[in-house]
Amino acid sequence: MKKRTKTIIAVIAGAAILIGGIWMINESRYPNVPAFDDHFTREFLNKDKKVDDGFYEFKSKTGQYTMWFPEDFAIANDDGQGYSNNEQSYEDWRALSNKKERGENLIGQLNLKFFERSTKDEAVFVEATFKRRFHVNEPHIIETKNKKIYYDSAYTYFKGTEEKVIKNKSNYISNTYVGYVVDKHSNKTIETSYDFIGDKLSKSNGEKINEDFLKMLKSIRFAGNINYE
Amino acid sequence: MSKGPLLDENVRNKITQLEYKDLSGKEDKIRMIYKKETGKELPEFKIYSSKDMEIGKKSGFDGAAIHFYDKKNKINQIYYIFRGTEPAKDFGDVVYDALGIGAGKKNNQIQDAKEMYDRIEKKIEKSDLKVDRYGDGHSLGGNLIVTLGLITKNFKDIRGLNDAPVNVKQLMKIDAQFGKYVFAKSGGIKDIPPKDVVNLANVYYKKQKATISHTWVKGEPMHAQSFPNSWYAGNKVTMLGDLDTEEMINIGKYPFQKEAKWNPVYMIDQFRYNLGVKTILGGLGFANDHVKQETLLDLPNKSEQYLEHIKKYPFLHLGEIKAGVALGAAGGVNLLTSPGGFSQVYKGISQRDQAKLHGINYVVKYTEANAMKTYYQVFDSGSQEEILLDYEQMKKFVYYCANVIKDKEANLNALKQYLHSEINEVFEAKKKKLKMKISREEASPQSFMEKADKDGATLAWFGQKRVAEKVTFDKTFDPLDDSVFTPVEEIISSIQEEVTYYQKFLEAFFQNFEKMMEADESVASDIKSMKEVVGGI
Amino acid sequence: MFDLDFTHTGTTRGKYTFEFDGDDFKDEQAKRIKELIKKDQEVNEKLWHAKSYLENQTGEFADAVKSKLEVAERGYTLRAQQYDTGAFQHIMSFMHSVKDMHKREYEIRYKESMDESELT
Repeated sequence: MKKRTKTIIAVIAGAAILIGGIWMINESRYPNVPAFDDHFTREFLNKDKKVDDGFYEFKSKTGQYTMWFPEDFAIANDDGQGYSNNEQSYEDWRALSNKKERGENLIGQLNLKFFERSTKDEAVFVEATFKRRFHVNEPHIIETKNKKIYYDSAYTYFKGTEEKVIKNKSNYISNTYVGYVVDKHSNKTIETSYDFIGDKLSKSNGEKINEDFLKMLKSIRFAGNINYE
Repeated sequence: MSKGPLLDENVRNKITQLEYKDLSGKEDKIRMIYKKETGKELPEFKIYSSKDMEIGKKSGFDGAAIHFYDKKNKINQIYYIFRGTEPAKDFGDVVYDALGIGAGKKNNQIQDAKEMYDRIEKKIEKSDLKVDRYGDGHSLGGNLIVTLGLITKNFKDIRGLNDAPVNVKQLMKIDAQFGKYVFAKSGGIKDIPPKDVVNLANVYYKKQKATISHTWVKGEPMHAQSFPNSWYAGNKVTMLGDLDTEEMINIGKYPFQKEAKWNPVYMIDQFRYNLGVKTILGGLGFANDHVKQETLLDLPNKSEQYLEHIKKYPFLHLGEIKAGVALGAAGGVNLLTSPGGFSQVYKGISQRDQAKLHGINYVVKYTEANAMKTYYQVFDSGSQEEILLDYEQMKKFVYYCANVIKDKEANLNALKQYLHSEINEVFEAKKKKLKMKISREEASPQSFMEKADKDGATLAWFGQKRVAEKVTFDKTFDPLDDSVFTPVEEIISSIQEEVTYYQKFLEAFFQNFEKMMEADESVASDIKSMKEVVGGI
Repeated sequence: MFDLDFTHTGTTRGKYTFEFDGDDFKDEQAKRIKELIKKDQEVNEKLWHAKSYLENQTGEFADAVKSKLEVAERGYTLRAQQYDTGAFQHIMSFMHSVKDMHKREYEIRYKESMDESELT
């Protein structure tokens, strides 16, 4: 081989190792959790802002809201179908998780829809949302200075194609959560659902899921809200 | 008992057409349309429009609802009418929006449609009379009304007019319950194959499908496009217009799929084509009057603007040969050397004018002229795909077959007749004739002897003469030999096998046919009565 | 002396073939049975023609239906030959049976005499 060629090969090889090395270092700077492993999801997250144990701050591409995003979840967008937005006025995404928690296989789905909607008929929309999922309109309400949170949960299962709902029975741990959050200062709205597959979640996992859901709902900050609470 | 729909398809089409000019304040026009069509007066109604309700400003959603309520005459009907994208808009945009390639925009519109629905439904809520809901939508509006029908699950019938298919993966996010259903059935896996989602949708929305129908003008671009995840929910398809018009090219589908199975040249071409399509998914359009020829022909000198336009609407340039190069630049597919790409471009040019068939006016025109044919969208278990079944033709086929099979049975009976009666009749007739001949001979023994026993008769020697006194014939007749009958028996048995084959064939046909059409109640019962008629033919 | 004048009776037996046009009979019967078989073939052709109603129908169901008819159509060639052969066998057998039927045994009783007057 000519000396020239040898040099060129050496340079290319060296560059490849260097680039590879940089890439690896780069990757290792990200937290070793599913949310950051997924290249699409990490675009929304701030790796330096771990807001709570198991959560990172999530910034919507619409610029209209932020929230706490669970690190075990990743938006399922490999086929381009897991996320969409319409500039600043609409955004939806679907995230999945699969982890072993306290000996149980927890498979979860987190769906979120952000949109703008007239505030006048808030009661109508809340009723439609909860009646559709749980057949009753009895959500819990948390009200803060900036927002109003409606949420409810139940144990659901499918009999054929019909979703059966069991609510408020102590021996049935909820596996379906629905939240409806409205901004008090604008017409920004978020509709979100949190579902888990599993015949029977353990009480402790059920409690954690409940806790996590409430954390996420409370963490929502709509753009323009100056006072945090 | 609730009445049937007040508005027939002609009226509904025309109101959908009118919706493009906004229905707000158009009560008189609507009354006129109805009167012209039926000669009658419309009962009292109220118009709701998205504009008046201040819905859709950001998303572009535009729809209306007409509510008829007459307690005395037991009328409580509401018609939701959604139009498509602004027709003055670039046709590329129209198709782009409608096909949901730009999912965000479309999903935003669905959210607004839901808002309109929830608010109106609350307003018209009455406990005394159940409301019947009907929906119509053109182009993107068709996609929206179908989606709304799937989510709410309480429409009596929904008509998509030159509508685009639903994207089942987007549907998972839009309809939370369906999303949960898929999530549960798929075990939470990340990349569910589109075919699986479509299959789940067909099961989950079985009831709703029976209320949804599509009306397409033959040759219009929308329904010919098949993109991954696309699904036409619904059981009935009505084709309008000139049925000999060729369907529009399917950009989503590589045209030489068969060849690509074994020919490496086509395989690579297909790969690049699909890759190009993916890249090009940002836009879809057909030769459009808005884009001037000059802009496209002067390729090398073109500005950023032009290249931006290509990137935004790459397929808009499909109708122009020169665009092959531009398209190549944008999508990595060199149409001038790609057989797949070139074939599409070439066809696209010859079909440019067909794009206009997408307009609502053509739906109105052909429905009025009754230039239509209805098909049923059914699941073909063999190919595992949805196909359009020409029900009328199927019926004709069945009756034709049944009648012919009956003819065959009649022929078989004629043969049996021949075997059991006719052969013997012929035989007896011959016997009878022979017996007569015998009698005649027996009556003239001398003449018989002279012809039968010439030598004997002249044997007389020494001048002896012989005279016959009597002649008797053996009059025992054996029956016909078996070998006469056996061949005919065998023919009959073979034909009987054929008859059985065809009868079984018809039975199997009905079984499969019934299964395919079970979702549509009226058709299912029609098939049942067909079975009875055929059984008795 | 010698009585050379005598009459005696006798019988003679034989077989007589009554007139029977075998070819004519054969042709007539052939016509009959071939007509019946032809009718069946025509009906079959009508049935296979049913395919045309499904000409424009896509999908494997329609394909399966059409192919069943095609299978029957293809299988008929062999059957048709068998029917031809069978018909031929039947006709020949029938003809021979009837022909044989026309061969009748007879017995003639006669009187023989030198003297005609003895014969009455």
